[in-house]
Amino acid sequence: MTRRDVPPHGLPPPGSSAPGNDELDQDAELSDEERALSEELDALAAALPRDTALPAFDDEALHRRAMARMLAHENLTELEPEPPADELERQAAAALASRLHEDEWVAALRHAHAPTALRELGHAALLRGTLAAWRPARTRLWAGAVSGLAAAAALLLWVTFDGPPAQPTAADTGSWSVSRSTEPLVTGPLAVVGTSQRLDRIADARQHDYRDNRFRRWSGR
Amino acid sequence: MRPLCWLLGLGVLVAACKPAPACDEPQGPAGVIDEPLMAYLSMARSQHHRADLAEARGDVSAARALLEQLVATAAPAGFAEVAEVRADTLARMAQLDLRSGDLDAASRSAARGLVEVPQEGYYRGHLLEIDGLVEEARSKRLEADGRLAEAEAARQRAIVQLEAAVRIQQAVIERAIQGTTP
Repeated sequence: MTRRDVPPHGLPPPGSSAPGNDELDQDAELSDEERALSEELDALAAALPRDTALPAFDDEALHRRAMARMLAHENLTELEPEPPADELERQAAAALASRLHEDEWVAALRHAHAPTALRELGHAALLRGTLAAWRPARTRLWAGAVSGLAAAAALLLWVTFDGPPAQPTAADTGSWSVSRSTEPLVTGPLAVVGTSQRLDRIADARQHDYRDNRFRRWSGR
Repeated sequence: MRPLCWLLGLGVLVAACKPAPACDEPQGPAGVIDEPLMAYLSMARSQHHRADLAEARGDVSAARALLEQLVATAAPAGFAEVAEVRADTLARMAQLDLRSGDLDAASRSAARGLVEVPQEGYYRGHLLEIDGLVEEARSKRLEADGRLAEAEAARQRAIVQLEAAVRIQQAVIERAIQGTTP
């Protein structure tokens, strides 16, 4: 019911015609307090938007009392408890709940307010769908081709790689520092006395040789 | 994509089955100075200096035990350096035995060292020198005990060993002066 259907406060209930003498008589019977309340309700009805639904009462006296109580009590909890919902109200509530449950905007708002964990299968399905849409068949073809080439190159390297390039052999030790007697280090004009001192000199000298060999090997000479 | 995954997996399997390349260090058979040789030289140097520290505090037996430990350690084969270090170590052990009066142990150490360096050179000459000193000490001990014949035999062995040492070391010195290496 819209405001157009609802008569201003003080007018007769729906179905009745324009105010007659009876109603004028009723207004005349109103107390000052009730008249003031009636005027206040008329002003309120005039201020409401045109399409605002207002309750309609068949009983004018009931209507007045209800409005008086609503305006008199700011705290509605003090009103009498509502009676149990009837069958029509329950059906309307169920229909509304069903629509709210199915509506995607309501679902989006609910998930935004209190998100829940994704189910694993649902998550996998979402990922599959997203990836399938993101990688078209052509991309997969290129990826396969590049991977195949990489595998072929790795296999080729594996077949042709025979270890370090500068590994010395028995026939090719001319450029390498090789094992030899340590006598030149411990005899002659620079001879040292004492076994430990001889070992110091031997170890130092061979350390130079060893380092040189490593550099030769690393440089591939 | 599944066949490609199988292909890549097969490649990894094949690569894993390929024998790893040999150690990338220059290896011994060719006589190239390599890591095992350097490790042995480092160990020998450390052990000799530990023996020095033991000797410095007068603990000759501890010094000798450290040297015996070095000689008993497995050494990389095929290197002249290893044989010479072992010979020099045995010569030092013989000297320690001589200082402690264990002439038989000194002779055994010198004999073991001479096996390590059969070629004539400084180390063999040094071992002959030590062995000569041991025989000289033995001769004196036997003579003091009144065993004159045995003392004379030991004296003769000492002369032979010391003369051989002198001959070998003279050759070493001449080679050094001439700039030739053995």
